[in-house]
Amino acid sequence: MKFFSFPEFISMQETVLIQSILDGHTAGFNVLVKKYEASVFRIVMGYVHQKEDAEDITQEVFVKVYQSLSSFQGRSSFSTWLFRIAVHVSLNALQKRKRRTLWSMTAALLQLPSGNKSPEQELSEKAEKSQLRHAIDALPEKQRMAFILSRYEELPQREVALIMDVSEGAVEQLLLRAKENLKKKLHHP
Amino acid sequence: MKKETDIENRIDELIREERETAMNPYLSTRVMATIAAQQEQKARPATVVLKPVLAVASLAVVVWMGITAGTAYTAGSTVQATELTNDAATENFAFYLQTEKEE
Repeated sequence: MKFFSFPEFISMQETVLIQSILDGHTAGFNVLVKKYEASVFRIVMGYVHQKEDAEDITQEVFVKVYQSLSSFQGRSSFSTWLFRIAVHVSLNALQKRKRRTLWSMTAALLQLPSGNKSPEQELSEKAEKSQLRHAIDALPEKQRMAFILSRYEELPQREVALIMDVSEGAVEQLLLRAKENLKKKLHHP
Repeated sequence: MKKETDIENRIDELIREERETAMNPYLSTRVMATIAAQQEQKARPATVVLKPVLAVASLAVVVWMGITAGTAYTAGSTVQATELTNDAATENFAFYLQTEKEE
């Protein structure tokens, strides 16, 4: 088996790189992880809003991607396939951690103030952010998916449409409705 | 009633803050280590299965050896032997039991 160096892996085309990983060059997967980890992390952050949880889920996403790399057929781009997996793993993780929500909310409120602001100010800001997160989390699933992909990862509507397997027009509608719903929820919480 | 732009600004601010959250710089190392550990585990399924099999097999061998050793024993002779003892030659234990009377 021929051995490739890290720069050689970087210079490879994505499809060639994936094929070489499937041929047993596991080290090549590191290139894919480094290339996409920040994007996956941002998408996951949009769902879980917590750094530690987002890191764990990002890791889970890449392990799942590695395990199912042989099923990637190249009909869509690798990033589209990867982001789709990231969304599914995040949603599954949210289902699992529903029980922990109450505790994490309390823990977030009990965190020590940063020092620049008064405790009251700090607490009211945290409560406000928590309210915003709740409003995002309470969006219907498709609206939330479109909102997170388009706002957290700043993906163009065309790519969001490919990930969600809907038309661009549908994405536009979902984003409009998400915006409306957020306004409604935050006007009358 | 809160102004619409205020709400939009607050949402933008939250998203900006969460987008800028610094990720663990060793995340890719963690991912690769997890994958390597999983591959290692996959590569040695034989030992995982063999361990309990070997333990059970060695226990069975020990039990079998015990049974074999037990059934292999046969008494040397079934004829009752007569024990011939010359009482006169037997040591007198009373001598040892009466030490306190010694002067």
